[in-house]
Amino acid sequence: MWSSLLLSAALFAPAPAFAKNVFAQNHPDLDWYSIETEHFVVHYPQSRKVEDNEHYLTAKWTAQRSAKIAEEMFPRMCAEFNYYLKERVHIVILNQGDDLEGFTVPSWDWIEISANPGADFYRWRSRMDWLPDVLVHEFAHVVSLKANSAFGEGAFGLMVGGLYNEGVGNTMTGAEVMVGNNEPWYWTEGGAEYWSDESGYNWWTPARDRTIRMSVLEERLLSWDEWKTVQQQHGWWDGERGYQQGYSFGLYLRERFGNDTYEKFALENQKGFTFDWNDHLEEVTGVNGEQLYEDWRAFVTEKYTSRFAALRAEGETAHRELALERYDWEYTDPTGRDRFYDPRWARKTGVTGETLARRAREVAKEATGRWQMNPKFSEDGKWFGVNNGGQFEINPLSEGSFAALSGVVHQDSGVGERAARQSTVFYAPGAFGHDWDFVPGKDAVVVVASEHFEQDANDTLLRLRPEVDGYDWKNLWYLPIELTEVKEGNLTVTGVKPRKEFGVEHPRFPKGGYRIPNTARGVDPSVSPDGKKVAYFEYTDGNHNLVTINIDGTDKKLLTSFNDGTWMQRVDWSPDGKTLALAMFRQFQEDVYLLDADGSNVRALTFDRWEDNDPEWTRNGDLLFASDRTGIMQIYRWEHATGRILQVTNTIGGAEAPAETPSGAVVYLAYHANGNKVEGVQPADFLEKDVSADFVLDAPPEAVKAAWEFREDLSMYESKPYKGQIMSPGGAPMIRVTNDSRDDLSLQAGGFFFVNDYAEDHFLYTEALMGEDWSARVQYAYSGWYPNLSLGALVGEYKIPFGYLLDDDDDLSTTGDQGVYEGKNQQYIGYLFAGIDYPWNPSWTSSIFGVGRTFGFRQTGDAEYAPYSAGVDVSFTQSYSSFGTTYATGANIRGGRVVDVSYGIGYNDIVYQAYGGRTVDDGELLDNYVYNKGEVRWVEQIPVPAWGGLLTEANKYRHTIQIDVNAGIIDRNVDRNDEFIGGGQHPFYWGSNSLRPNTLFAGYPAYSVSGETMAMINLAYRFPIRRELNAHIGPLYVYDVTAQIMGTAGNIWSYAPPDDPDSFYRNEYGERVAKDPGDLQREIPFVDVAHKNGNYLLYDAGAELRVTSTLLDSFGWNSFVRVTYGFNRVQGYGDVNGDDVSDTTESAVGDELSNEVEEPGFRFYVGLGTGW
Amino acid sequence: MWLLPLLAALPDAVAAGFQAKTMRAPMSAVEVERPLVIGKGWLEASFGYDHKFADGAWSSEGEAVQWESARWLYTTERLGIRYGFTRSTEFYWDIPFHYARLKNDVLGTDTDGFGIGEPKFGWKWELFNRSVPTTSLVLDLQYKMPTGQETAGTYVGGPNTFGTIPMSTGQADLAAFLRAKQQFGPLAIEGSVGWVNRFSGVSQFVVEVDQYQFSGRFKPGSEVRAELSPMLQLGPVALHGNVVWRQWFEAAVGTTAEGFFVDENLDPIAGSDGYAVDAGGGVVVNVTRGVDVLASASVPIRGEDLLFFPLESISPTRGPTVSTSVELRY
Repeated sequence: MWSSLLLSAALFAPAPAFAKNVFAQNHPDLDWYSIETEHFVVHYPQSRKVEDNEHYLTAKWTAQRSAKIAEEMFPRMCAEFNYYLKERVHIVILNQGDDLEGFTVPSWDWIEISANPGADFYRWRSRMDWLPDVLVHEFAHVVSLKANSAFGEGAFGLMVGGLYNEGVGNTMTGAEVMVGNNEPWYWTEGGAEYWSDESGYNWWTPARDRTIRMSVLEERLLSWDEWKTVQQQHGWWDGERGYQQGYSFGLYLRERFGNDTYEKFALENQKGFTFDWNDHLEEVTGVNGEQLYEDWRAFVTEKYTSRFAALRAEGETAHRELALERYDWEYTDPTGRDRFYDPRWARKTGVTGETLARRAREVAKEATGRWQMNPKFSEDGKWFGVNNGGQFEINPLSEGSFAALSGVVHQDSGVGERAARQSTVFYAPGAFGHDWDFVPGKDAVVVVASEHFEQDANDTLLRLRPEVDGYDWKNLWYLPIELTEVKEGNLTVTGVKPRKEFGVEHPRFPKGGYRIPNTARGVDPSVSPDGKKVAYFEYTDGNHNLVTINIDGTDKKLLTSFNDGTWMQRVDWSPDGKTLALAMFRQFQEDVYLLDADGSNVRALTFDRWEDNDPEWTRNGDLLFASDRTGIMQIYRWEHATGRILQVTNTIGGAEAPAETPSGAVVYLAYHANGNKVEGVQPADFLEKDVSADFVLDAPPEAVKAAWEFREDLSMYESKPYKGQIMSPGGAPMIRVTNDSRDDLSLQAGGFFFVNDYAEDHFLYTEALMGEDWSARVQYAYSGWYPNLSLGALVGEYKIPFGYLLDDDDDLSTTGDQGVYEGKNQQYIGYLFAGIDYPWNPSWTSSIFGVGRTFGFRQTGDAEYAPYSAGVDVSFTQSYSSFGTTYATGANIRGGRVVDVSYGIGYNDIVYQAYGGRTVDDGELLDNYVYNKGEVRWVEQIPVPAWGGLLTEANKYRHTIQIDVNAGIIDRNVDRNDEFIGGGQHPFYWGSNSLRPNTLFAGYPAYSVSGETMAMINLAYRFPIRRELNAHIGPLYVYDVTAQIMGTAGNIWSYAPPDDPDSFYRNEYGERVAKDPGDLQREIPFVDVAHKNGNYLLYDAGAELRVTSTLLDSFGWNSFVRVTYGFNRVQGYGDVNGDDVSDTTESAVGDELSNEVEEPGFRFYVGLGTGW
Repeated sequence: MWLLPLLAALPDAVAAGFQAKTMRAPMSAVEVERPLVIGKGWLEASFGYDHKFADGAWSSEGEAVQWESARWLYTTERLGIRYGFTRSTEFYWDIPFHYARLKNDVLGTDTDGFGIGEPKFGWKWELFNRSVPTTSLVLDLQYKMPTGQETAGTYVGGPNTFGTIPMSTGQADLAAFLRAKQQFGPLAIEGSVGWVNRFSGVSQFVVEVDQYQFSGRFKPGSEVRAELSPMLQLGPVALHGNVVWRQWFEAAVGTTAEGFFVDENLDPIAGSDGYAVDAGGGVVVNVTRGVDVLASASVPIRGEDLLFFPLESISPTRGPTVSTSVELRY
């Protein structure tokens, strides 16, 4: 009867601390300050320690400038929607990292932006005026989304979910959905760009035009479905396409329907929630949304087709991609793809249809050169290198190797492979987008990489590098190009010798490489012709300054002293080493400047309204640079001898980041709809058009001097110490069904509520659910110190209906004496918990977590609760995750691991008076005891190795093997509530999208397996059934369907009570109690039968389907169906067969096992919107 | 919700998160003009107290019966939360706690208890709205949760000698009401009619006492309820009266049937149907738009039956109730 004394409330275990929104690590070395204006409060950090602080930072200037911009933009943006905010908006400036940040949570009145715009993002926006751009964009979100919101701002939406556990049918069905605002991506992000434009802070730049133009001409405009449902299906570029296409759509609607068309959508939505936000398009314009999209598509198609025709009429320069061999889809021009558009694509992907073929083609092409930037040949022509998405690839290839430069297309299919083998590759974290340089006279390069580059490069597997202060700033690194002769069969090739780590090859940090001292936050290095000095830009507080330094880090000189948001881009030494050329954005103008190498004699080469950048000297002293003079960024050459400017390229995709080859050809960066690639143009094909008259080349020196010396006065924006202002609280109502039996509704209703402060030092979360069961949780986390600290409490009461089979003669075969009686108990639980966790780096986290707990019971007829036990345990856990600080949640995780190792010490005191303050487990009388508990869990994701034949095919189709090992030991016999517990679980228990790659013993009932020694392994084989299905199926828009087959083996063993009647006695409840606790036999894993379930080993096998989808085009909705078969017959406690009736005939109470068994059979799990 | 009353004690800077929001729906400063949903973005917390003293009941024939020696005190300490989810919908939570005491000088018993009662979670949807004058028509769906403790203590001596006072019927209700309000200048009339569907549940106070004291399944009678409430606004003060009529149907008790139709084994309890009519009045003081103070009183007028004492929600006793509460809005 009292089998329900098991702590069913274990489902509601306390959880550790919370992560911050931006940085994994805290920065307690910073003080925060605030600038208050009429409508805003701007917060910024500043290092407490100024002297001898290699990570000194402040964001004061950025904050002051933000305050000014904010007040200027406020009336303009609010007027767009006639929505004038009463509430103050808080702007938090970050400067702790070197990466671009910019986001808002409008309902929290919170904008967070970084002072540092990162590496190269604004190359793709054509606008280096970073601060107003991002600030106005985010504020546009605040106003538009507030004006749009159908819901009160405090509520994110309505969270509805439930789980029905049908024990007889062995089925667990869970569902969960969060219904909230559902405005589409194109309107949200494109709209923010559009309203920035409307309010005078933005314009349709040549770079934005390029994004749409090439997407049109290369047939890769996002489809209407992608507009509605897809945020970043193919990575960042689709996001950018969404931004720009949404912006373009807004401009189009403005022309067709009037200025406030985009705004009206928000005002319509505000009136009340609708499941299809796009209905508003028709409500406002009278035209169906999809038709509007098609109209826009026709409009831009016509526009850019005409533009291409015009460019061809001007004379398109011949060009092609720098590829070593012919790819399936080789560019020569946007229409050149058609030559290779053949049925192979359909065969390769197994799908048909032009759209799918185009997408597959794009994916394949991206693999050949997406994110290529800053191509260069070394001075001696020996090396070619390119920054490929932060990975430097240096090849010993002459320019003649490339068809683009030699005119000879290699038909030898091995040339590319051999070149790849011969290349040196540096995975340089933080290098994304930054310029770099060869070191003249040496086989070496200087690149940008984060300060822990060497440690990270030398330990890619374990990533043991500790990180104490939380900073990982960019620095300049000197790296020799290291080649070794490698024998491969009969072939000896020259190539870099990779480092092997547990059999896995990695590019290694080159011998002799070093971090150039005193170059913290240095970017875009250029090495002097004598190889002794480096010119680069040093970042501080939203600002760049030009610096020269010896290549060994000595003799550092700041050649400029700006502190006003000046932004520089690419510096280059002239061939004689006397002059530096750089592009600089300052005072709303981006021009190319020349100055002497000591910083003197500043003069403007260009001083005009064009965006001029990427200066690069040629060997004869001319200067290549890029400019958007024609509305398309092209390469130009300033002839030193004549002072003329000649246009070099004229291509529809445009050209940037030029570099001269030894023979005088030019390689450059070209934008295509599926990424940016390196192209080349031979001298004979240069356009050579004199366009000098279009540039301002003779700016008066005094005007240039005045522009350089101008300083904006922001002193009126005074700061005060940060007062810990809290954000607007957030929360959501919650409705849950937690039905664990057929006969009660078990509907719970409640909600959660939380609040942060703007510096994210404090976080308070409360949650309460009422129903037949109720629980309340309060949790506080402090992130203002190096480790995160958390405190919390969880209390609740639970009512447990149950049935109980009474059999007078204890013989189930005689049924006349049997009766089923109903009962209902109440449990209470109380937890107090405290945790400390410290993320050493993105992979490693240490934590200490302590829990004090008590629970007790009230039986039918009891006037008061009877406490059952009280205990405390403290666990130390070391976690490793190759997925970084966040869990990977994809349907088919391709590689990586999560390892948790924990040790805990616990104390439990059984106080239940009905048992005399003791309980019996496995035949032992337990009163109070101390126990030690160790546990290891290792989940490894392994792509099927491409070892030829079917394996290679499996790898190609993204088949993955998953190994999940769990092992643990408790050093003594303990009450069942302290034991390891297994059995099939549902992800609803764990919350959506948590990493539960399989459930442990999914073939057996939840909580059916328990004991003190655990060893189990689960193997799974996963493979996509349909990737990028991208189709509506009922209310779902389905992206991927993935299958998994899996099986588990192992068991949880316990202590066997003595069987010899002389060794035990029966207590008043009929339980067996060993006379000598030493007679208990610890079951030996894999040798003994686990007496609690009756098996040596348990086995299960199953299959699962995972569906990645969006519900109603708006809400993430990942679902699964799992079927498992448990091969073993198991016994256990209480209601083993799940019919809500407990049948324990041997003894009415306590530790004895139930007479019930669960026969081998299937178990079913369905999760709708719960993740997997 | 405890954060709200704390706001007054917090420094301005810390309370910045609770600043007034542009998106909030308009809210009249006077009660008579307010619609029946709170309006988008408003959060209301109310803290209330009801004091009921009963020294009698209604007989099965509907006659007032005066108890000879029993005195029944039933208090409710209420926490209410309303949130304007959209312009026309609101969610609300009503979380009651009770202190109850039954004293019988003749029997010499004095039993009391305190605990959470039966919280309600509801959703209101305004089907029609017009302002100046206010017209509001609302569909109100409500779910009652059996959260409170439901044991009556040891039954030695029979059901009149329970050792503790149950605070829950042990089963859930699902109710639907149609509510309407019409304003006529300083006057308003508010009325509602609805159905309370009572599901069955295994209840700990339903105990077979012959053998092992196991629980039984109980289904209180479902109920029809109607209410009418006129209101007169005088400056910041609104006076109102109200009449409530409740008619409930027969309850049933038994054991749980197998399968999904678990009520099949329940037997109706003859004479367990009944009705009650209460009348009362009160005052609402609109201190500010964000603070109201309420006071009211009600008395039973007619009724019948006393089968499930002391479960007030399904079998009210006969006695006056006085109530007061304060509503804070953000």
